[in-house]
Amino acid sequence: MGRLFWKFFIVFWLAFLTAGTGVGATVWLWHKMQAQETNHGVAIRHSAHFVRAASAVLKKGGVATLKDFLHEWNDDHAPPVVVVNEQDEELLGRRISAGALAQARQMANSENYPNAVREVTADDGHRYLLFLLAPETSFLHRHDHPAGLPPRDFFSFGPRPPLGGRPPDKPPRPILPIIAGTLTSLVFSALLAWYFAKPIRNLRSAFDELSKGHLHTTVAPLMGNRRDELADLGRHFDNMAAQLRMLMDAQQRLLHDVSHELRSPLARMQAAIGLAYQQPEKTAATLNRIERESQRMSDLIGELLTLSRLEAAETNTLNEEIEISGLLDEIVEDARFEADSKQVSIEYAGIEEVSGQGSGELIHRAVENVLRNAVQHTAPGTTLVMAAKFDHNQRQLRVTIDDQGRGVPEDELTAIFEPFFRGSHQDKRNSTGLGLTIARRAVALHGGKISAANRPEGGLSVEMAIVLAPIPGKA
Amino acid sequence: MARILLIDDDVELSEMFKEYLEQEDFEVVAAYDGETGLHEALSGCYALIVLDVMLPRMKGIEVLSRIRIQSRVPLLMLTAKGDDLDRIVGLESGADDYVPKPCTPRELAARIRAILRRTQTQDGAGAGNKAITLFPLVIWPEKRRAEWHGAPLELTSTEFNLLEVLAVSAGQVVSKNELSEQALGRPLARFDRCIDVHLSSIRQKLGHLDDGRAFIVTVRGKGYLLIKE
Repeated sequence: MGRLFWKFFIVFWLAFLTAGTGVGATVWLWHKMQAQETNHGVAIRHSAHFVRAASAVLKKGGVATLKDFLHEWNDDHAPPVVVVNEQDEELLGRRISAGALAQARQMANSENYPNAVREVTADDGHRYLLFLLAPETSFLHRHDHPAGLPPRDFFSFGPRPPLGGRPPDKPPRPILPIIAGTLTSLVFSALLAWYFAKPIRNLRSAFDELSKGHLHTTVAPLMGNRRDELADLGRHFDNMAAQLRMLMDAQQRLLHDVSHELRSPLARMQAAIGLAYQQPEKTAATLNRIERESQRMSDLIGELLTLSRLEAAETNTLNEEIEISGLLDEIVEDARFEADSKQVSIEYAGIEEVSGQGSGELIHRAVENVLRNAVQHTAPGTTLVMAAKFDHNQRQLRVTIDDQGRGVPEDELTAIFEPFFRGSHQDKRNSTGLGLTIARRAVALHGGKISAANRPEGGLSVEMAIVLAPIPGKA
Repeated sequence: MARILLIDDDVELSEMFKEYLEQEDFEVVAAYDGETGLHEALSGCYALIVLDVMLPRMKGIEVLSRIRIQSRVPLLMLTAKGDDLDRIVGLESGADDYVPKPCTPRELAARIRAILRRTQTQDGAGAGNKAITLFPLVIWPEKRRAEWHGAPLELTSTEFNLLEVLAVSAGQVVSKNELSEQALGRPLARFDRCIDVHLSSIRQKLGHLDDGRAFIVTVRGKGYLLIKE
């Protein structure tokens, strides 16, 4: 169990306990207040009886008897019946606040409380005022309604429980429910914590695996039928791993291909060096060969660097102002040099003046690579046809280049754009194997597409669609 | 003058190797793809075949195993430097030795000579009929023939060389380096598994002795030992 589990667990458990304790305390307090109120009410209802009994004792038994009687009562924690003479002296010497006394006298005179407050002439000739003080939380000290016992309490003698009967039922001991609640909350918080912590733990171990280089790690099967954000996270992880795997595979393949491609010119160089040692008179010719091979290696490395620069490039760097017709004319002019040596002619009608935003270098490379590829693969003595069109609505430049070579097998039409693809019948001597890959990447950076198709009349047709953003400030 | 078939798709390289080897008194025929190479190799008029196992299309390894189905002609393969898998698969498929590419032509010529020396000299002096008998194995070094329980063994020349070296010093441990020097004509390179691959191939062809023991024993850290009763 990880730290996260324990954190979840403790938080959930504390939450359960707090909620439980809060609810329990509220209920308990409420009950307690109810009980208090009931006790209070009972006390008030019975106050009249106490006062009546005390006055009867005073009338029949005299002051001394009442004193004894009151002492006894006090010991029994009965409601304190107060007995005051005309000089405001209490019979047992207890101190009564002046306000309460005044209130009591007023109640005695008003005749409205015949039972709660009584005046009795005792055997010693004094007139005594008998009344009852309200319980501790008494209103006697309050000025607005000192005797505060609402009148009806003194008179309502409705049905009530018999006093001094059996004691009320004791409430059940709270220990059992507390233990049960604690255990239940423990179980539930453990479950909840597990429910949240488990997928996170799975994810963590998957990340560990991934960082160890195990790119085939998946999380989705561990998530089961779960459908929530955590399961989504798992799926996203799997996508990420798959993407990484693909990239790594591509990199591996590229590395493998590059080392292979570098090996060939190197092998030829070593062979040439061997020849030079063996036949010193041929050194000039072999040096020539070595130079050619080293040029090939240098070309290959240059193309590789271009490709890796393109892979890392962002589309927002393509903000050069370029003029298309001049650019295309230049490319065709350059390619004609190479084509002439093969007696290949290039037919190109040109394009109207179009300008837009993009990278001149990249468009140049893309078109040039495709055109030179066509020159290499077309049969000697044939004609290449290049056509360019600009769609002003979509701001799309379409360049098609048709050759009269042997074409490409249908199942290799997309593969020819992969790095170092070797076709079934391709002469790779003069190509680095990266030209079309660079073209594809350059076109893709311009938000376009490159595609190849075999022409029905023979030969390959490559089409490039390049999107050119309008130049800001120009319509 | 030994006739050598060179199967490599790199035309320029083949031409240079050809030129070099011809200066070294070999007769060289070049084939630039697997099919032509296979056809030529099976014609039986070559003393040795140099095969680039990195051929495209019909893979070099496939050419190699198809040659081995019909012929035991000595075969030297060119492998990619650092590609151990190709190398081991090639040796298991019956190549006699390998040269990592890129290599200097001198290295290639030396390796070709080492293989030819073992096969040709004995072929030429095939008059003798002396046999080494280590029941159930019988070897006639001059005839380059071997029998196991009376049945002829189909061994490549390197396999035969190794078996012969072990048989001559039967009952003694022969180190891998010694085996390499005597059977391949070159010292053993570091991490070279060539000898092990060849020996495991020989073991498969021989099988076990009647009592279930292996005929060729690996002595860990030292080399190999052919059991002598």
